Amino acid sequence: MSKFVISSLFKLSSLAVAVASVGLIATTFADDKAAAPNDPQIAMIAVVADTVDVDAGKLAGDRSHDAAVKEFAALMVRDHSAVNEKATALVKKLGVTPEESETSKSLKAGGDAEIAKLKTLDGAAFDKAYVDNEVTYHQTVLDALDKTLIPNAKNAELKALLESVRPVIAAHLDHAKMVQASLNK
Amino acid sequence: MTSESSSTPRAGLLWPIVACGGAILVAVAAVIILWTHTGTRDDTAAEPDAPSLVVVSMKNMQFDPAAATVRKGGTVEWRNDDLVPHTVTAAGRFESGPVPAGQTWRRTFADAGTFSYVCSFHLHMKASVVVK
Repeated sequence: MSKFVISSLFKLSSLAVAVASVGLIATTFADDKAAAPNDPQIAMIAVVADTVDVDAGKLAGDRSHDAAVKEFAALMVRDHSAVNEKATALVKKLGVTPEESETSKSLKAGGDAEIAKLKTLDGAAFDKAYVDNEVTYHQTVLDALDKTLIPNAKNAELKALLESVRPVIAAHLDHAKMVQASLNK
Repeated sequence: MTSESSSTPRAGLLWPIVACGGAILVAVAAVIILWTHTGTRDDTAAEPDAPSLVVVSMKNMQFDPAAATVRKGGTVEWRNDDLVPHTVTAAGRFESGPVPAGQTWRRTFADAGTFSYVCSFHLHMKASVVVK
C-alpha cells in the first residue's frame, strides 16, 4: 500500500474518531432527560467531567507550541483540578459515594476518544482540534449544569457547589472561544 | 417725679430694641450656618472618610466590589471566596501571584490615585482601587 493511501486512511479514521467523540459528548447529557440523576450520580458526573478536561489540558500543555493554547490548557488543569478537589472534599464530608451512570460512563468514553484523536495530531491541527473540542465541551457542560445537574441536585451543599462551578465553566467557554477565534485568523 | 415721668418712654423703648437686636443676631447666625454648610461644597463640605481597611471578595469569577475605595495609607485585603485560584495583578505596580481558594492577599496603598487591576488567569476579571 502506498504511503499516500496509508496516510489518507489514517486521516480518515482520525476524522471518524473526532466526529464520534464530539457526538458522544453532545448526546451524553441529552440521554439524562429520560432518568434524572441522583446526588451520587451527579457527584460522579462532576468529577469525571473535571478529570476529562484536566487530562486533555495536560496533553495540550505538553503537545501544543502555541502560547495562547498552552496558557488555556494550563488554566484548564489548574481550575478543573481545584474544582475536583472541592467536589471530592464535599462528597467525603457528606458521606456520599459517587455513583457511575450512563452519563458518567459516556463522558469518560468521550474523553478517552478525544485524547486518542488528539494524540494523532500535531502542530496547528492539534491546536485547532483541542480548542474546538474545548468550546463544544464547555458549552455542553454548561447546558448540563443548567438543565440537569443543578435542577436535580437535592443536597443544598452539592447544589451550591454546582452553582459556584457554573461561572467557572462560563468563563472557560468565553476564553476557549477567544483562543478559537485567534487560531482561525 | 420729673425723672419718673421722663424714664417711662426709655423703658418703653428698651424691650423693642432688645427684641430687634436679638432677632438680628438670630438672623446673622442662621446666615452663617447656612453659608458654611451649603454655600461652598468643593473643599469644606463634609464627606465620610474613606475606610482604612477594605475587603474585596473574589467570588463567582468577579471582584466584589469592582471599585473599592480606601484611605491613603490604608489596606485592601483580597479574599478568594471562589473555587479556583485567582491573581490580583496590576502590571508594573503589584502582583499577588496565585491566591488559592480560601486564601487572602493584602496590599497597603501609600499613594493616592486609581489603580486598575485584573486576574491574570481569568481574562474578564477586572476591577480597580481608588485611594483617597
